[in-house]
Amino acid sequence: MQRSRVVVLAMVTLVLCLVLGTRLVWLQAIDTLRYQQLADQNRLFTQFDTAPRGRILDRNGTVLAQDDFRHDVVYSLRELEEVRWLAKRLARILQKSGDDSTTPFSEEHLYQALERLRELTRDRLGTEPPPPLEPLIHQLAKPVARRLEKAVGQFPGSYPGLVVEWTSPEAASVWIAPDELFAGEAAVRRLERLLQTSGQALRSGALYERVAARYRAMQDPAFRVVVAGKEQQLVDRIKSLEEKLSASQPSEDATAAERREALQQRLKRLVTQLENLRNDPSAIHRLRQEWYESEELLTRDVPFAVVRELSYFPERYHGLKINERRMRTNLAGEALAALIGEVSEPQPGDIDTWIERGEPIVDSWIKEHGELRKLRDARAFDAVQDSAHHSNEAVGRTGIERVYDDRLRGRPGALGLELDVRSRPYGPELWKLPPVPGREIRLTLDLELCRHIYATLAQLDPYGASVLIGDPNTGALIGWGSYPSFDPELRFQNSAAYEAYNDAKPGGRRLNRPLCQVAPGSVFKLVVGLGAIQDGIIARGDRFTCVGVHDPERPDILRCRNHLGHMPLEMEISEALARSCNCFFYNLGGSRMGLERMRYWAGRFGFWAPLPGLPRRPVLKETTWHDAVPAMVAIGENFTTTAIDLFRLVCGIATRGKFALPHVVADAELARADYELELRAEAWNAVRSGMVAAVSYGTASDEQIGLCHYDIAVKTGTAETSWRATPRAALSKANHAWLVGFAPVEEPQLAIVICIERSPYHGGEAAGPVAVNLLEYLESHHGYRLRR
Amino acid sequence: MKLLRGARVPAVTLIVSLASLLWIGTIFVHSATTGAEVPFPGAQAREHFQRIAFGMVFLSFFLVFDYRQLKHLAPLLYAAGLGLLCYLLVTKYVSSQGVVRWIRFGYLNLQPAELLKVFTVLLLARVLIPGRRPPQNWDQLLPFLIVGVPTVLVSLQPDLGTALVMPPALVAMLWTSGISGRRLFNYGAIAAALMPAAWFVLHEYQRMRLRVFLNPYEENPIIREASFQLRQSITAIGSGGTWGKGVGLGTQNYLGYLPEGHNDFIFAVIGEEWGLVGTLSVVALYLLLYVSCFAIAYRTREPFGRLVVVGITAELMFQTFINIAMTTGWAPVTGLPLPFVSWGGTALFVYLAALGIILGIALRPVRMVTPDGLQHGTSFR
Repeated sequence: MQRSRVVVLAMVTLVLCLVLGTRLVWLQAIDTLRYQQLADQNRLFTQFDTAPRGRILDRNGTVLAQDDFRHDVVYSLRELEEVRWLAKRLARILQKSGDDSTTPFSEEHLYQALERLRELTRDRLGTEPPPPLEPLIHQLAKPVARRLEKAVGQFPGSYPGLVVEWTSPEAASVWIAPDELFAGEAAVRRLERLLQTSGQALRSGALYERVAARYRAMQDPAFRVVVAGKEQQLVDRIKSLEEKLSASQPSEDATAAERREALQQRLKRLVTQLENLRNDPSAIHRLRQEWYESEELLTRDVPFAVVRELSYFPERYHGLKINERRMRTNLAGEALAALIGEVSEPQPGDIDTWIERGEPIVDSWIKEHGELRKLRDARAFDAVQDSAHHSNEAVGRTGIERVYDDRLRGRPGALGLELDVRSRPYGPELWKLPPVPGREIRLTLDLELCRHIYATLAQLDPYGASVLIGDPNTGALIGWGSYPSFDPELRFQNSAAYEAYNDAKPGGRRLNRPLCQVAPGSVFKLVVGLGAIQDGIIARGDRFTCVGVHDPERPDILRCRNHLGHMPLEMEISEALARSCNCFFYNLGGSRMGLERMRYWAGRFGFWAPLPGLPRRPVLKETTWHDAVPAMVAIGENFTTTAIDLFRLVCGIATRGKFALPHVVADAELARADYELELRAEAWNAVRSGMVAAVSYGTASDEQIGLCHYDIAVKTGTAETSWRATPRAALSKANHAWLVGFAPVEEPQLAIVICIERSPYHGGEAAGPVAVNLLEYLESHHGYRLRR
Repeated sequence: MKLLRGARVPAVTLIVSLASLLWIGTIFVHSATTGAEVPFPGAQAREHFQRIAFGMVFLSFFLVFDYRQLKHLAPLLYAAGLGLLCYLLVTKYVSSQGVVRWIRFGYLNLQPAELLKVFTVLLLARVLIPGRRPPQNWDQLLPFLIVGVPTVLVSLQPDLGTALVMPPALVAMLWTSGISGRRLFNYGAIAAALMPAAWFVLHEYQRMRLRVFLNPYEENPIIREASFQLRQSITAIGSGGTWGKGVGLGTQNYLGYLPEGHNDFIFAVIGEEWGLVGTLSVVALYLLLYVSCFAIAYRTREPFGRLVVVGITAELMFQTFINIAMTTGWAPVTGLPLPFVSWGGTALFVYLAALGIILGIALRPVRMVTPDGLQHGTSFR
């Protein structure tokens, strides 16, 4: 009976082995692919790097904007503060003996002793020569001392600064080398001294206080401060989410419902987190671990000498690390700050746009078909690299940086790594797709000229000013002035300083003024004149008498004071342009041409048309145009346009009908984007001779201005602002002074537009001297021959 | 031919399978504790080898020692084992430490629970020898008491895994001792009825292990964290495929995704690096080992010896099964090492000593001399 029962047991064994065998066959032969994938997911990691952004150069190759590296020093408590660990290890060895006389060596007791030692030696930490050894334990019994000595010998890294010295054959002492045990604090103090010698104003001990505050929070056994902070943060987030949820009503719309669902899930997660934090000790433990291991910023933007020192002598700076940051620097300074523009981290709006356009954000989880997905496969990345984004890349916010963002931005690179269980890279990279740097952009602008323009304007210090200088044949701008501007290198720590900086220039520092709306004033008479002759409303030789008032019944509104010395005066169109007679154009534009025709001709000359390659500018509001008084429109009031539109008009007049596209980026396509407008020769001749006459006897002919010495054709303009905030008495002092022109008159090489906003002077008086200054500069520095 | 008679054949297959398992254990202790670039044997493998050699001393001792003496020593040994266990528990509650399983004993970290596994079997065998005296009511309870006391004490340590190994030995020994199938079924029914009550006795971490076992891939972050070991172990075995990734080249192993890779989860390392071929070979070796043991039990004519072999084998077999089932996700995580393969401490010495006892029984088949003078008589009953 018994023997047969043993056979049954053997059979049971066989069955159990068969069961195991089946399971193994299932796992390793049938379902193995799934587990291979899981194993690969464990270890394979793709690290994505941002690429450098392309540089922006001026026409001579001078760098205007580029990526630079800044360096910060970071630390983690784990690396910096090892005292607790040492106490733990020491306590384990000393207590293991079972010898009752050594039991006061509890972890807490040892820890306190070590911290007291730190207090004693604090002032001498990190100095040369290092502070001497300090005694920790006397008369340690032989077996324990031997065990400790063995442990220190085997794992010296686990017992930093600990020395066992035999005082007699039966007992030993334990000594501590403060500079080694408190290597972290010594390092921070050393760094502090280094920063002080390299000229940073830093109070002694200020740097370590940052670490100490964090360390103190760590030392609290209940971890109260941090837990309370985290709790508060969670409570706030829950509250704001709840508010959001209660604000959004359940609706039929699918996307809204989906968004609401996502919000609800987020809320649920946060509530669970909060509950865990309150009730689950392991959550606090995890938080502490995170806090202990996370990298914290110690000091920003350290000078290169410090970076060098830390890289050459890492052992002196135990636990400190240099972090490199990529920064966009605008080297052109104030002169081109607004035009070149700024970059920033991607905003939620950018990310939404990328997702909408189907461009992958390589390092983020993106919802695809209702599931969160992330790029992991090298081949997949290779295919999408060109359209890929990195969540940390710089995005052009304003100016050229924004317009040419796609050309400037680099494509992220990727690195295949093998990670161990603690997420540390293991071995060399498995594959690598280096980031593709962004392409360079060369501008047609000349940095030195732009700086000169800015300096000239700064001397004048008007409310606002814009200057454009360029080639009328191609539309390429070589000079660009926008005043006032901001220093792109200034970083403000508090908003009060920022506000004071902005308030110093009430005109606004960040506007790109050549693209801002200003009433064109009398410059618009060029448009009216050209249009009227082409339409046959007026011919050369048709004469008109100005008596100073257009409508005798309303003499306070439509008046002409532009040629007060010659009144009344009978004139034809060229002279009217030269003297900028208002009554002539009230009559011509307001009474004979009408709003619609003027609008038509402004449009034909390129006003308000899109300008590819330049930051966007405001377009005409149709309502403003319809509400305008036709006679006022004829002299360039009651509506606004921009300096860049007037530049295009000047190009057209200078080249007799070739309207080049104003541009700042050297791009063959932009240079070709012009259009021809065939007008009667009579129209061009009349307007051009009027502009020439403006210098010889018209509005810009004053000897003091000095334009009469140049071979130049100009039109001045004075737009009287109806700016409400200006006191009525000062209203006449708040004119937008314009001067547009081209030189030389025959075969023009330069087109120039100057606008001085809210100037106390009239167009020629205010803008004329600026023009002369610039013409002089262009002659002396750029070799133009512009004098008569 | 003479060698093939008696208990010799199972003894030889036992030794062959044991040697193979020990050798595989050494290889994978090396693989799990060092990188592929360290030549075999590494420091841990050398130490493991030393421990095997030390264990062989125990094995040889019991080969020489007449196991029948153990029958008389059994109560003494059992009492000593219980004493050690009680000492541990007292120190545990006095010093209010969490888990106490070891007594430091010079070179050894003695685990009384492991010793008790064998001592309990010895005492049980002595009690269960059939026909010793007419069965009393008391006799029905005694075996349960003998197993129950150490089981409870060990699970108080707490070391539920080790404690759970003893009841299967009791079942196997009761079965071999000739208990009626009906009664065994009744005992089983009572045990099954008591099962749900066990849930309330379990520690929080043990309940968590059960929950993890029931659904390791649950999305709950706490479960996910707790099931990490289990998931990684299954992934390691599954990713090994048919032929494995090669010794020292298992990514789950060398990147540290398998905690306790040299110890409780060594089977996962074998599965990853040797693949299906390796795991099936190891299972086959265990089958050979335990069937050899049962063959020894079958061949021996001495009832005490037979019960001892059955008890020890049932314990080892159950432990092996639980360990492999655990690494493949078919059993909850318990701290049971894989016999003869896992990095050894007391457990390895005890198992080798136990096999020494079994081999000793194999080498001493009782020659029955029946009244008619035939050498090979009938077995008991």
